[in-house]
Amino acid sequence: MVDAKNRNMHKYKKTNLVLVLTVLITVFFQGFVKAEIIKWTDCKIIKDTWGESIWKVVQEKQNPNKPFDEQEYLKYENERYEYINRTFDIDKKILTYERKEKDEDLYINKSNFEIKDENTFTIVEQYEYLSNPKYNTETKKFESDETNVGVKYIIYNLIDSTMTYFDYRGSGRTLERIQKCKSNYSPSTGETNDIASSGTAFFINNRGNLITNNHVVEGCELSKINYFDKEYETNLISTDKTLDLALLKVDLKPRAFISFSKKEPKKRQLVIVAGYPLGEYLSDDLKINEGKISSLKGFENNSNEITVDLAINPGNSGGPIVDGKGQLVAVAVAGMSKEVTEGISFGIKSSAVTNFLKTNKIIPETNLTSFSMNDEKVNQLLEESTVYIFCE
Amino acid sequence: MWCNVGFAVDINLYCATTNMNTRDVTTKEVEYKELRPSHFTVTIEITSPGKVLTRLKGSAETGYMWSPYIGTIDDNIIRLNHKHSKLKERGTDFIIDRISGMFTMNSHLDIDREDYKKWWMQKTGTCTSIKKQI
Repeated sequence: MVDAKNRNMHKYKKTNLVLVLTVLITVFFQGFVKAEIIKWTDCKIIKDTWGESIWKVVQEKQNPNKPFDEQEYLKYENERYEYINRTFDIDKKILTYERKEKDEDLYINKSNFEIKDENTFTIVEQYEYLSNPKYNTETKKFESDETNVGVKYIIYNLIDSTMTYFDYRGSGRTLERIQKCKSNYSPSTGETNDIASSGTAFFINNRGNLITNNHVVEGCELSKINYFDKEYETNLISTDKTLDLALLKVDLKPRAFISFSKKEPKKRQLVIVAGYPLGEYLSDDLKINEGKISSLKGFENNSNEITVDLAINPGNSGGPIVDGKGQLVAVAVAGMSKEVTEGISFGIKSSAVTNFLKTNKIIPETNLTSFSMNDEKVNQLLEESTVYIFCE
Repeated sequence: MWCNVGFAVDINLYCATTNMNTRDVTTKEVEYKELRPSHFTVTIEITSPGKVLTRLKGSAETGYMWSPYIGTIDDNIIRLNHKHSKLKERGTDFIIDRISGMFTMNSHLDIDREDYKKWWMQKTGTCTSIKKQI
């Protein structure tokens, strides 16, 4: 009876501990902040009532036997634009609209919007239009002495990232246009997933291959690195969500790269981490600090990870954890909340990274020499091989 | 999803104008008239908390009615306007008392002219809330 009670108590405590730890664990990644700026990009027209009606008239004259093809029209219309983007500043309630038409200057417009509910923004605008307009052949414009008042009602739906524009004239309402965009906003969490998304990456060979965490590049259309004050675009070659690793390639020959340690990590072994905690908000200088391996397992007995007592923070994600010889021991990935714990951080073992690379037909470089490097040399190696990576 | 948002109509009213008063802009004299009730409908959409977009649909009794209106809504009053900003605020204010259902519709000429500031035509009547019949 007592044993059973103790077992239950133990089980209860264990469950609670797991829950608490799950809540506390944080990845070292600059992102997932409460939405203050929502970005819609690459907006495409999916309905255009007015444009379609004009197109139909033109087409009927040019090719009366050809039936109207809505998809063909939308393709033509969308190809006119290089991009249409919208940015919602929630605090200021300002929408910035950017439209780049091919061979035209960038058009930018700012307007105030209202928050209808948590997933809907709206803009209502009264405007005047000519009533009974007549075409003036001299000025080649429609003219009229009378005007009427209409209303534009634009609805921005955050759930499906659509802009729906209705036009109100008299007692009527017309659905004018719908655009669907890509969004950085997650309606389920109310958060954005690419605001200041940045982390750390490092070169693993002289062919421009980089390693970082999957969560640093996930959901990012284009990741760029900053290497010696110059930005480079990266190509995402492969990812492993379970290991939380990503392999990238950049078109440059780095000054240095980090080779892999052949030795198994040991408890109390001195390790050094390099990275960009808090991204470039803190500073654009590489931060290097050191600590020790405290466990050869990670969170929930994860044998692909080690636990370290290093002071690493959001933004360190994907950074190298090296030994005194500058050889890779692990890749910084996550840690426990600093509010409750102290000095509990996790790194993905270099052996797991090796497996990931081999699967992607890349042989990790190992350093044959086993000499220790002095601090200056380790610092130089890390400076020349570690980069700031961010989402464009 | 967008369809549901876009076409959500929040309040429908069935209104009847019972009085029409006119003010002569030159003599300032007001003429009060009682009318046989002339009916029209009002469709109010809430576009954001406290803000509305409204359409009036006239009938054979009323003839054409200016529309749309934008304005505000609270527990007691719906205040709407249909104004020509280019014509110096010329247009109509439409105020509905949500408690009694009584409405006042004041039409103005150029509002920046001192002698035109007051309404030149006023319609009053009552509205009741209804559901769509069909």
